[in-house]
Amino acid sequence: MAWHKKSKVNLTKLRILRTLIQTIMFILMNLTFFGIGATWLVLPVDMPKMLTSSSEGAFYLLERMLTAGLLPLIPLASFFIIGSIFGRLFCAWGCPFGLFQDLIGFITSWKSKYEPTQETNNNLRQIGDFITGVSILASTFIGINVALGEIENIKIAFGIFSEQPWAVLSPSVFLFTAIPLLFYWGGIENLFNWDKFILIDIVFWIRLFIIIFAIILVFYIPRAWCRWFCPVGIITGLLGKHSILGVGRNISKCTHCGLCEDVCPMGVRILSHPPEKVRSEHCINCLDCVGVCPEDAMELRFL
Amino acid sequence: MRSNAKAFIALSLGFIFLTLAISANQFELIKDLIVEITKSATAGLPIP
Repeated sequence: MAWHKKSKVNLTKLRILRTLIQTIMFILMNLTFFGIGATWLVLPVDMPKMLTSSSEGAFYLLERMLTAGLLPLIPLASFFIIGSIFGRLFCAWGCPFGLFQDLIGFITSWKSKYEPTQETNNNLRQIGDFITGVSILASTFIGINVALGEIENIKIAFGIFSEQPWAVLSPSVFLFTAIPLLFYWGGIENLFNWDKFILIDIVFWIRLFIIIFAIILVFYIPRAWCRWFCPVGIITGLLGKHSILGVGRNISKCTHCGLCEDVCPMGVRILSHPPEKVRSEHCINCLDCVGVCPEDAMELRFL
Repeated sequence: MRSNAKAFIALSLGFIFLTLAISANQFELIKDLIVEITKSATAGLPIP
């Protein structure tokens, strides 16, 4: 079906609004830059502790609390309350790494994107399940040993993974924490001095490889990192499948044109879901489908 | 079970966790954790 002018205008307006809100959320999470200290804004987003951040994303805090031998009640409350009401809404409207992926998508919008099948989407999501499971299990194991007084032994055994296992490999941590620290603490010149360059730790190159891999992936597939690898998305996706807020389809208006599926950045096969609400762990409530629908058949629904 | 029922169970669990967190004074406890950049985050960085 050909694109209606109305669809294009609505979608553009919606995407501008979303980028604006994502930017405001990014500023709200970095209030230290404006002299405001730590806040309790623990949101289910892929946001690590940054130089200027006044809070931390729920999954990083969950890992940090577990490895410190604390019950992660605050991040769990954040996941359950926000996830059961809004689903993965914050992935679309508040996640800094989501914003980064959207910007790459915008810069490379001249290039046609590849859309994997639903089966591929679901299969690759198991990598994220594995990452989430291993991170939580490792953090719990470390926390139990810390609570038993084996702090030194466990730090030796787990090394760099002993405080936040996933943070070592997360591209979001490398982008928002590690790279700014390289400039702030003055390590960037080591990359341009051959004698120091050859001494750089292999962990640095592995982390650099992961972020480059993530960028290349997003270059071809919109929000690829959110779809398959992000632990925050995995947890909120489980809750989001049954969330109170969601996108529904008015069947009396729907003409099955498929525009909603074409613009969905997460590759959700909207028309194959029940019209009452899209029950997918991939849906991030970005509302692109609502904006693009020429018949106004897609709508945001409560309950 | 209907999806709405699952959502309300999850929401109730969330509020139970929040109540427990407040009663265990966890918001004060995590103050130091939140402001700290961990060794995991800076792993492998060529910092002098």
